Amino acid sequence: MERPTPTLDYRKKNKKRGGTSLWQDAFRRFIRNKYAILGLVILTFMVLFAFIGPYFSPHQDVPDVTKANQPPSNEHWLGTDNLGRDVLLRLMLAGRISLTIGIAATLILLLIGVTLGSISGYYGGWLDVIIMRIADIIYAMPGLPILIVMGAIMSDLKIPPAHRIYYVMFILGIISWVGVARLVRSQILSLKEQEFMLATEVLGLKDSKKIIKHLFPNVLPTVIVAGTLGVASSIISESTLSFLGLGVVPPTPSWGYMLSAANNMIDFAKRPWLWIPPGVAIMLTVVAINFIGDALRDAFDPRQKI
Amino acid sequence: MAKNLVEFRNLKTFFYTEEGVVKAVNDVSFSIREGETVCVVGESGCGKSVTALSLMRLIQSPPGKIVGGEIIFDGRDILKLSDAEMRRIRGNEIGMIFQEPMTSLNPVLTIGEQIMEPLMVHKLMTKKEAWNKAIELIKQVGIPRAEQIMTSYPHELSGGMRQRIMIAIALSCDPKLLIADEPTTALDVTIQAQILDLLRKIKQERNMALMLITHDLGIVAEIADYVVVMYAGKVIEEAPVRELFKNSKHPYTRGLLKAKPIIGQRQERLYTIPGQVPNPIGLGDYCYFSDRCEYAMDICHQKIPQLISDENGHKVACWLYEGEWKK
Repeated sequence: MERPTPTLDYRKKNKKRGGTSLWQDAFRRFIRNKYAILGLVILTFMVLFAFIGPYFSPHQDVPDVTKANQPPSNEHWLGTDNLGRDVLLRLMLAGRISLTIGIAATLILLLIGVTLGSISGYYGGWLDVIIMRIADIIYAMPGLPILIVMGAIMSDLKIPPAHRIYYVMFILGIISWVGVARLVRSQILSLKEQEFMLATEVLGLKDSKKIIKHLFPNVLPTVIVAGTLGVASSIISESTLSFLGLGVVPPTPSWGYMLSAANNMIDFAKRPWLWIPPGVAIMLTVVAINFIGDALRDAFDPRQKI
Repeated sequence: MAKNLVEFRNLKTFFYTEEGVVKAVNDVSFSIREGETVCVVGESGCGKSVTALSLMRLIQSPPGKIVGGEIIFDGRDILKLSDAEMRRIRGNEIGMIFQEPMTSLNPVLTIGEQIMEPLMVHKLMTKKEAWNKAIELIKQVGIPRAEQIMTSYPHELSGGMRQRIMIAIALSCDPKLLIADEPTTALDVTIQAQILDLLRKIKQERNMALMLITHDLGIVAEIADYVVVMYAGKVIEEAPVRELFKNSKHPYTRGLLKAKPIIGQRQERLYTIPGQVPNPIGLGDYCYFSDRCEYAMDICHQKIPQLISDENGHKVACWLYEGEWKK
């Protein structure tokens, strides 16, 4: 048997990786991960399903009590709800709301959490004390009362139902940045004592550059994991809000709302087409995002060789 | 004679800890001339690194503080510069490399990004120019396949290669002074020799001054032009390297030289200086070495000896030579 020449093989392997930066290398590692691709495919499908799907539906999202509670049929693939609306169409419309809220709330919470956590950990001193005490206060207050108070304020201010969704995103982001900020802060605290940070000091770099270019890529894996968990919990929190009548207002559907609308024994036992589809939709989305998150975390760790 | 590039004048860097004030650098004065290699020698904890960090103004405050003195670098008093001016000096006019090449590079950035960064910040190069310059630098520090190294991550390189990369980064902006804080301590002996050769070669090519901090007298003999010996935060002896090795004066320096193995001589045990470095907190006004010194006299326990120079420029702070000099 002919044995391959190791040196040639080595060169060939290395020739492929011509990337110059962390981001390019991370992208290369990301697309080679099959779970990442699976996650992306599912998520893309969910997005298309929610945003483009409704245009292909023959039905209108209006009540028609004559057709209430029909099981899945050729006309209504996923049946109808208690007001005779097509479940499939509502599932698609609900996806718009849930996906938007889940992703936007997570982006907001990451933005606030990472910024404040980095500043707090890097500069320390009184800045750290102030930020962390605010975080403690928010952390100490149970989430539900805050949500109820905010919901009441929104109702009092007569915010139009169509705009409520934006406020819901903000509220969810604002009450949940604390965990991320703490995570990031503790990571930065230990990272900034590393010798390579002293080395950046020696190079005469600015603080902003040190934080963004040298510290941030090191905390990225943690942030990504926190973010993927955040999407899932935001979708769930939104359903809590909607259930309490504080989030999006009926008739606007969201997955969480559709789930909680089927909360009586009859629906649960006799009409599974009401609650299985939104449940499956939430599950698929969350799993897909977790796959993507895991793959991203691995992709940003250069020690992983793919 | 070349002019002074760096001049430490009565530098005092203290650390205010809970137990008391640690005078890590206490009234230290010496100078580094352009293109000269100055070795700062001494045991652990004698203030070598703190002296270097004071020059970079990287003393963590609190607990550390530069309480007095001046550091003149190229005509400017470093201690009076603003933070922005200081950033322009760091990495641009003074480069620094550390003991631990394993941890001195950021694990998630490629070698290329890390070499290009100071070039783009200080020399305002475009990405392309910086890339070409970086490749040139990698070749200069003796690493083959520069293009491939540029896209590698630190964990893919060996310790010796990483230290070469650190040197390349420190050299990127053509500094006038390179501070090397025990650059070879973490490396094995053959790599040590290569790194020293590299430092010497680069220094000669660029006529750059080198401040080398070490406790290895072998390295001193090999590379230094001038030696500064520190003990408990003070300079106790300084002299050109030949003079120091041939004609050391301070009992501590002699002890250090005696503690070195000599090739071709069999010894049962190497010499050790008796006792330990004194606790740096709350030292009184006496020669700090007096407790360990076999020549100690009464006056040694009572007054601090001053650093005085003989006619050859060999400076020593020891009461043994005080009388001799006065005659």
